[in-house]
Amino acid sequence: MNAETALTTDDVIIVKNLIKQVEVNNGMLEILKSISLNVKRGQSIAIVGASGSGKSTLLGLLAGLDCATTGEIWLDGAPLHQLDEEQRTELRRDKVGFIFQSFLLLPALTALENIMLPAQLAGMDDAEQHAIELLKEVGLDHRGDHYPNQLSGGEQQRVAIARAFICKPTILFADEPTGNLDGENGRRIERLLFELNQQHHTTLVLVTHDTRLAQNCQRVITMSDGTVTETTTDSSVTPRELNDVV
Amino acid sequence: MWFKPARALLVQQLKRGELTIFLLAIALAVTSVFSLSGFGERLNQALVLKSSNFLAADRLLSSAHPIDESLIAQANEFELKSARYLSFNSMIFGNDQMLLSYTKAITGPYPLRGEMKISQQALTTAPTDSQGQVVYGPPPPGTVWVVNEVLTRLRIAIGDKLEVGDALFTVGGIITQEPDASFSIFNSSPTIFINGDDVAATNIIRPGSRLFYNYLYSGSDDNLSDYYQAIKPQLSTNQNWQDIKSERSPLANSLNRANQFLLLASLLGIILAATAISVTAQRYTQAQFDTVALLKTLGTPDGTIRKMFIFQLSSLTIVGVLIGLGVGFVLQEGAFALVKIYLPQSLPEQMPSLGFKPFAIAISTGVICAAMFSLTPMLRLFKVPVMRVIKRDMSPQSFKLWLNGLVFGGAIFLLLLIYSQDLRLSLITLCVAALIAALLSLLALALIKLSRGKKFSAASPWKLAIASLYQRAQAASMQIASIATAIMLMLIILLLRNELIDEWQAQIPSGTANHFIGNVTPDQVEPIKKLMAHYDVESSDLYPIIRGRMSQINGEVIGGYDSEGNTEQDNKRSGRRGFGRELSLTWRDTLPDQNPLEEGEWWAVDESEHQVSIEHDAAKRLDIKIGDMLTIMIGAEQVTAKVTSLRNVHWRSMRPNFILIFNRATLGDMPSTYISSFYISSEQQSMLNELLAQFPTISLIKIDRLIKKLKEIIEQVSLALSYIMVLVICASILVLLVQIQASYQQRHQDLVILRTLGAGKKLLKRAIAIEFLISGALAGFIAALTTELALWLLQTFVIEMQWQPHPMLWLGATVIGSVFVALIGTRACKDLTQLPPNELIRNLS
Repeated sequence: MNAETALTTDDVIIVKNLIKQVEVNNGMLEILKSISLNVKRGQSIAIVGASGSGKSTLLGLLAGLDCATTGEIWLDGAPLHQLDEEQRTELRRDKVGFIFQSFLLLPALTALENIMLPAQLAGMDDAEQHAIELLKEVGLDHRGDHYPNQLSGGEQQRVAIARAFICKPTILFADEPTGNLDGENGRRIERLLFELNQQHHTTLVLVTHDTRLAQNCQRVITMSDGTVTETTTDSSVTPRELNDVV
Repeated sequence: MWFKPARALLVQQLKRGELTIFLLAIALAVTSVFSLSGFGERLNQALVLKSSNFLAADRLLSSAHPIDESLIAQANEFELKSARYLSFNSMIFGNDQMLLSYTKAITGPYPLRGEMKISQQALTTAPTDSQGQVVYGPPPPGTVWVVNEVLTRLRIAIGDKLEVGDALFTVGGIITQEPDASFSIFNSSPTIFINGDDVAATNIIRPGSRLFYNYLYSGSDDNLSDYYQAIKPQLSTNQNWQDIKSERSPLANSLNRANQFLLLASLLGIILAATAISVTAQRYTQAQFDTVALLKTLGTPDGTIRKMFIFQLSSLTIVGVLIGLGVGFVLQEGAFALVKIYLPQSLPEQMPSLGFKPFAIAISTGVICAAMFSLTPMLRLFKVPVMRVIKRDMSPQSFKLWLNGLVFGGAIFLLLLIYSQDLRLSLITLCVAALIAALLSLLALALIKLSRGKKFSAASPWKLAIASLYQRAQAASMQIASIATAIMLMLIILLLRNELIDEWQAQIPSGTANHFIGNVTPDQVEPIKKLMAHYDVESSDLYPIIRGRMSQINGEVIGGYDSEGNTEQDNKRSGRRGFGRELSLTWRDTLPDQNPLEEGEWWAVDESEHQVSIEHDAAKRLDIKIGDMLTIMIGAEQVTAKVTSLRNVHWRSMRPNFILIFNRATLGDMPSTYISSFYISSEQQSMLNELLAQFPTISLIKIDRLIKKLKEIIEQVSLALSYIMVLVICASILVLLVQIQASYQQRHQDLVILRTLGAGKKLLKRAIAIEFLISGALAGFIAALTTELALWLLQTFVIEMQWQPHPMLWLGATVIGSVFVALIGTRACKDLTQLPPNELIRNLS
């Protein structure tokens, strides 16, 4: 299958022969070794693997945070591999949401301001109204004026999730979203993430060590030493038809 | 057991560059202090050495009685060169004429500093410094050297005979340059030099003779000081040990001010360097929190951890001090080389060497700063909880603000005191610094209010900039404090420098009188005025001079105290204080220029009542008020006048100045001579020849050599200050970079989040620029406020200059602050805005 063909289908991410090399002391180190994959619109996908297997690097490349050495990435029809830094920034602003393990809220802004930020950057008129609605959805409507250091870890991650959804992203990337939370809080965030994902019809790509979280996704990709060694699909957790090529 | 891991840790951290900025701060502090004190001290010594030419020696011991020869002989033990002269006024006779002269009977290699020139041939023009040959030592026995005025007034020539007391001398030469010639027109008897061995033959030394024994010394400062300490116990109170700076002259005044100013600028530089160390010390210890927590987890005893970090701190201090001394040495040598290139004529032939003091001060600065400023952060470091290995946000409790302030203030005060050895100056400087700290606390509060009160879009650069400042309110206020300190120091140095130089220039503006004439008889007044008008020479008025002594105030006889309140013989004296000496009095119809009236009124020209105007400070000192009656003895005659006004006198101006000025009705009929001052350019020299040819009996005193020296001092101090400014700017940039580095990690994280969320480079660059512009503008504004206050304190209480407000300073400082900080800040954060967002995944996840 080539990229042009993929664009006519429902694939929101298409990856072809992706290689990522980095310079080390004695030469080049290949972190990702010729990876190809497609992701359907609305699908949830978990990337799992041992530390150093290349999963976070792959996430960074898919999200347009980094550039591949060779290979192609098509994100919602846009050729990421051909875009420069500023064009990738615009693409992220318009189509991508992020959730991080350490929440990464701006400590100088309130919860509401943190949620509004991507919408304001994208020039949305009703950013504040949207942000207030999302605050309600994540159950923090009474905490809008609070600063990150006045919120618990779980609350901070809920703000981060609300921030990720404000621009109605096509794809949501999450890097260990429950990694910094205890069991109960982790499960609440997990539920919230999948609920919102369903509601907003977003494609979810998450990197995790948590097998339980991975099992909630429609598809799990296991990585080892820079290659995809295994993919599993579980039709029972997905309402959608799966059609992937690895 | 602790040494090897401590060394390994130090080496690793040095390699990774984590300690570079702390090391750099110590090195910079030591560099600044060493080069400032080394350069300042040597420049000051050079100025004093060169200026000592005006004393003909480094030190002068003078006495009305001979000093025990054993004391004088001790100078040899201290490797000092010495000479002496006996001075007295005596009548001299030649060609059946007589003249009151000032005689110097010289013994030894006079002058020890400067040059004396003697012309063996008759002068065809007015005497100039270029005439004659340089001579050291006294004239041969039986020979007298005289100033040209003696020859013209006695109508004699070289080779003729001259009688001094009972001895007969042959005129052997004309004095064309005398290093320690008096610049006072009031003591204008013409000078003659005779050999000290001829004094006995003159029979001048008799009971009651008014003689002055002058002993001259030259040598190193330390040896001179040691010698003085050795002989001091045997000296009586009227035997004066003086150097050029203790003289009451415009030169001494300028030297003392230059010295004070260099000292003050250096002190301010020290505070700045200390601020840099303080900030980096905090950052250095904070960076060690994880290491200490880990060491504790691994079971390392507290004592071992303490040893490891004290070793690390000591090693850094030693290396920093050594680097600082090395760089400082090169800098001060470089600065001196510049002075040599640009002002070669103003330096003595033998340059003063670098003393021990700059080394001691620089090393103690490095050690005190590193030790004291690391004290509370280090104590905090040792209290890092072990749990930090699990919960990284766990930090040891901070020390109370007042304790930190006490340690910081104490360290700064100690440094200031060591450097200046002046308690008052150190206290004033410290108070100003404390005031800045207080102002900044208020500013931090204002920042919080500002950031919460304003409604900006979260994505506007203004909101991001203000939010960033608010987020780091404490660090930002420190940053603003240090930038404000830096700007304040630059402004103080610049403004003081300009005002000091302006005042000096005002003292010797172009066209300042460079000649005095005296001994002008009343019938010569009009012809001299005409001659000057003919040559277009601008002169002060001709003032009549009458010598007199104040004997009574309001009919009460004066007890004989001197004007400085010498109360040593209180119990032997009674009555009111007077001047304790004869005064030069004058009378005038009009108020002299530059003598503004402080109180009372000037008299009318036809006023018949006896009236007098007194200088304001003298009146205050002697408790004389308007309406008091002053009685003056002039020869055998006694006159009484009523005080009708108090005047301010600008004593440093090069023109005739008087404590007492009477009206015509009081002294107009008294016999007097006249004096005047005037400026002539080199093209108008022929006027001098004509003046002396037409009026051979007048006295001429040239002060252009003194004015030239004053100008040289101004030039040298300007150069020194430019050098200090460069150092202060370097220290300011370092402080700013240290502060930016301290906030780098947080700033980095924020920017990466913003980039990831789709914020463009333009927005981030603007936000950073606005943040630094705000910081800089606030710092500049505070700097202007504190500068104004500091200048008022310094000018009023330390260097005694007239303070005036500087309205342009406020605008200037704010603009300079914002531009300076924005330029350095955006440059330092440039790489942050260039960061690709994948840094987020790589570094922060």
